[in-house]
Amino acid sequence: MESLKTILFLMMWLAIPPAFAASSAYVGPEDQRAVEEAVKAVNRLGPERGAVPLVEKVVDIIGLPTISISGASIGISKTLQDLGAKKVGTEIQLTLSADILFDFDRWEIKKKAETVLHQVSKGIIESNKKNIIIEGHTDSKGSEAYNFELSGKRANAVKDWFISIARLTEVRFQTKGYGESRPIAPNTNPDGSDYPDGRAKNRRVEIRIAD
Amino acid sequence: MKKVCFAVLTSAFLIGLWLTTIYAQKAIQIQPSSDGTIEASLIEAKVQRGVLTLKVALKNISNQLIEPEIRFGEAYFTDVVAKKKYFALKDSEGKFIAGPASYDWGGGTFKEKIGKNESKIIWIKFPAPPESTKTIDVHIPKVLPFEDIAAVRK
Repeated sequence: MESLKTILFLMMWLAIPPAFAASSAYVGPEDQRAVEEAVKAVNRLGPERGAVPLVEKVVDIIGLPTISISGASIGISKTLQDLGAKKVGTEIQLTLSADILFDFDRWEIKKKAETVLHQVSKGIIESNKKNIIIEGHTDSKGSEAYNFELSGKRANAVKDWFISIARLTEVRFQTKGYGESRPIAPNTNPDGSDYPDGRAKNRRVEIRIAD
Repeated sequence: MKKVCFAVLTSAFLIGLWLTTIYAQKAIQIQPSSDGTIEASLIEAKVQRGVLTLKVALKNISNQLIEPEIRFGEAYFTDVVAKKKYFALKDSEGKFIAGPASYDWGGGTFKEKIGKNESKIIWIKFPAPPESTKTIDVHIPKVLPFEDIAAVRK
């Protein structure tokens, strides 16, 4: 009789699930009940499938040199417009300050530059264009030969980043370094003195996005 | 007696084979947890009947017993191209279709002890993204995001 009581007592406790434990847990992802409930849940959500829009907010970073802006045109995605891209013929052209991308005299992409490059790669994907031309430019400090080499290495570094980090593997890249040969601003004042603002503008990487 | 031994051994072999198959699944991508105690492997991202099922193996790579708490309601995936965010599916009782649901907290929470070098697998069902979506980024609480994941459509 005593053992019967013990068995009944144990059965009573086993029948009561812990108050805090999941009461109707699914056995696994292939559990038929889970599969059917999931299909019903998707149908309840309707065509939008419960998706909520991702909201983007772009803010200027104070203290960093700004990306040189040459104007924005219709026909360019907002991502590229925000980066200051312009449309020239069928191409989209974009200029990035080398001071954002690289440390002085270096050609490794700075960690801080990755946000901008991620934006550019997103813009490239949105453009559906398949040819990217990356051109490096320097200011006039240093020898012509050295600047030529540095600008080429920087253009290649941007290309490598797009391929290895942004995984733009379905896009063809061409790179070229122009050194100091194609300035967009004077490197010196009329009296021959140094003009740092002009040199800063000349230190740049130009990206052309073409069909 | 021989029959019993045979049955026990056969069962043990089959269970072992099943466990090996589960844990030997090739990871699509591996990410660490933010506290460095877990190595999370995304081992399946499959779309069937409009439902995306994700399986993630959580391996304890620390030197001690851990008990991670993962609330399924905090898991989501994003389609950065279409700029959309999707959350886990809930059943008619408001519980997330995910498991193992150790507790009902927040609609379903995984919270189990994982020994050193041991793994536990969690799974979560989501609405499948449209067919135009090529890759997604998967966000599981406490784990760094799995990025550029291609869902296999059956």
